[in-house]
Amino acid sequence: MVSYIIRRLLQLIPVILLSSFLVFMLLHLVPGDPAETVAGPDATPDVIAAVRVKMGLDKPLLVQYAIWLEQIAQGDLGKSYISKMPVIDLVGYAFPATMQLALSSLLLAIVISLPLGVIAAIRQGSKIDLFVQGYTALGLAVPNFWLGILLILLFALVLGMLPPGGRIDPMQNPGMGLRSLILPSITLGLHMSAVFTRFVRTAMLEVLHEDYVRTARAKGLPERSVVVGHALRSALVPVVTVVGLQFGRLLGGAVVVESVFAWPGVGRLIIQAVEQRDYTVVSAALLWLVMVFVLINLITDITYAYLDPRIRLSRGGG
Amino acid sequence: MATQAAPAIKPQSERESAQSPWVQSTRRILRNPGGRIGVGLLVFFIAVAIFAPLISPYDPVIQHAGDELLAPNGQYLLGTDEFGRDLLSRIIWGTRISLTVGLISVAIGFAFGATTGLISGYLGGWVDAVVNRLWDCLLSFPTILLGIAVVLVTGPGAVNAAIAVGISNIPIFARLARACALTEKERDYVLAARTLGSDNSRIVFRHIMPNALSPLIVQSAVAMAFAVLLEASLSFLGLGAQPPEPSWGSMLSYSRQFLRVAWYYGVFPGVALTMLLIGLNYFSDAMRDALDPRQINVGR
Repeated sequence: MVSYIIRRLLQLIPVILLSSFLVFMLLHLVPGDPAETVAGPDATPDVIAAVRVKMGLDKPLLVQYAIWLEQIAQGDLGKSYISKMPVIDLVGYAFPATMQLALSSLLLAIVISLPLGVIAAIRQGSKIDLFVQGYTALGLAVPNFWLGILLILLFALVLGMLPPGGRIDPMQNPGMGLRSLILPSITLGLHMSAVFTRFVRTAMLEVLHEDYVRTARAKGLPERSVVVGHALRSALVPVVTVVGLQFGRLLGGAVVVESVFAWPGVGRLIIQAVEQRDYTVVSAALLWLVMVFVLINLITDITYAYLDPRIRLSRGGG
Repeated sequence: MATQAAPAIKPQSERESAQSPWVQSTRRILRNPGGRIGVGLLVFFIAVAIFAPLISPYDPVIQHAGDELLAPNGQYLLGTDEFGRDLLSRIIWGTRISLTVGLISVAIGFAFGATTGLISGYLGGWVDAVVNRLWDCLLSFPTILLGIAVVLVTGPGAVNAAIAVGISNIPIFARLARACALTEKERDYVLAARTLGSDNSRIVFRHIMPNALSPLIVQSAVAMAFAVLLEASLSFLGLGAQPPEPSWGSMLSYSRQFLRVAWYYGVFPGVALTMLLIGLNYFSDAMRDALDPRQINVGR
């Protein structure tokens, strides 16, 4: 197990280096000269040249990259062109909001999909199964930003039950904090609940036909313990991987959903920075999300290897 | 009994073998109820896109002064937006943008992904290692972020959104093609081709590629749904088609300011988008069943 984890960690190094290089290149490919932006609109060519030297923009590209990487390793992500705030503070403020949204959506998706998937599999071909399949087909197709608009329309504007957007810190006001979380979580979680439901159903269907499930039934175990204790337990192994992979995608989905609900997370930070052409913020926030994504994939792989010895023992695994 | 049953089966199998694989798979897709829904919806949207100039009641960008934010009525069937533009016409013309961006981006993903994947899988060695790492890296970006990054460099717009979506498609096609090349290159027919003196490019593109086509085509249908959704998301964020172009994503984005007075503005473009996505999802599922039964359907 330890050697597997070490091997996976070593595999991460080129991925992290390459993706950070891509983000770094992004800063250089965007239209406009950062030195001119920093120097201001009235700066003379001499001043701009001085700023360029000061910012290290006159050095070779790879040297600039090395310097940039070193700064990041020290926790210095640069300063926002617009607000002049350290980017690490902006991301640090936004990230908990994104994680809160992502985790509550994940929880919601699991709570919906486990019972739906299991029931649909047990009663394969029944009306419940058809309903569940309709739910997943719709859940997979409805774009999250449109679902968000529909929910705002119904629950905030027509019924007036929930706030249409914004985030209230649950530490300061738990009741309002929870209410502001409901619509964004449903919006982000529904698609994933459809993905999970479909997956749980397929996994359960496969397992229910296995010999050991028949043996458990033949032993006279109550149906509940056959389904939950025997079938569901092994059906959950592949589900863990899907949860991990989907959690990474959830972070991408959060970018859009945060914009719908004015949720002050990393996604909204990126979109606002794009609109203001604040590229240090864009690149730092992008890099941050990519690193989180990579980390989650790593945790997923390790969990999967822990659950399924065939993976960790295979040569080259992962 | 056996002699009686045999003639009943024979013509059937003769008919099947006489048909080209394309006709056979189309039949198999249409035999599947989900496949029929998918094909029906797709044919509908493609027809709408092609005949947009004939069926749309108004010019999608013409502003009717005095008719701003009208609810659906006899004159404007789905109502008007904040500039008095007919929503039905804009939704009809928006079909063109969605489908075009989808097609372009799938073509980009297919062309670059399949080529690099087949070559790197066939050659192996350091070429394979380098190319594979690059795609791993692209896959480590959540796709919407990759899209945002590309649009940042190229500037917003429908074509640039298509390029962005296309680039995010490349690694998926590449991995699939590489996996095919890895299995196929060990087969006897490749050895035979090599013995006969075929060079590498002929082996890869004339011999291996036809055998990798089925999964790649299935992936194209999946990628199309994904591309339509990603284009709409980018447009929703203001990074795709720019005003006054009638893109569904940007229509929904602008509708948010007027939800209190114009619910239909925030509803109908989304209905169109969702119907198209349902059609593409059903179609790609049926196509997978018809062409590539080995793959298990994992959620996207």
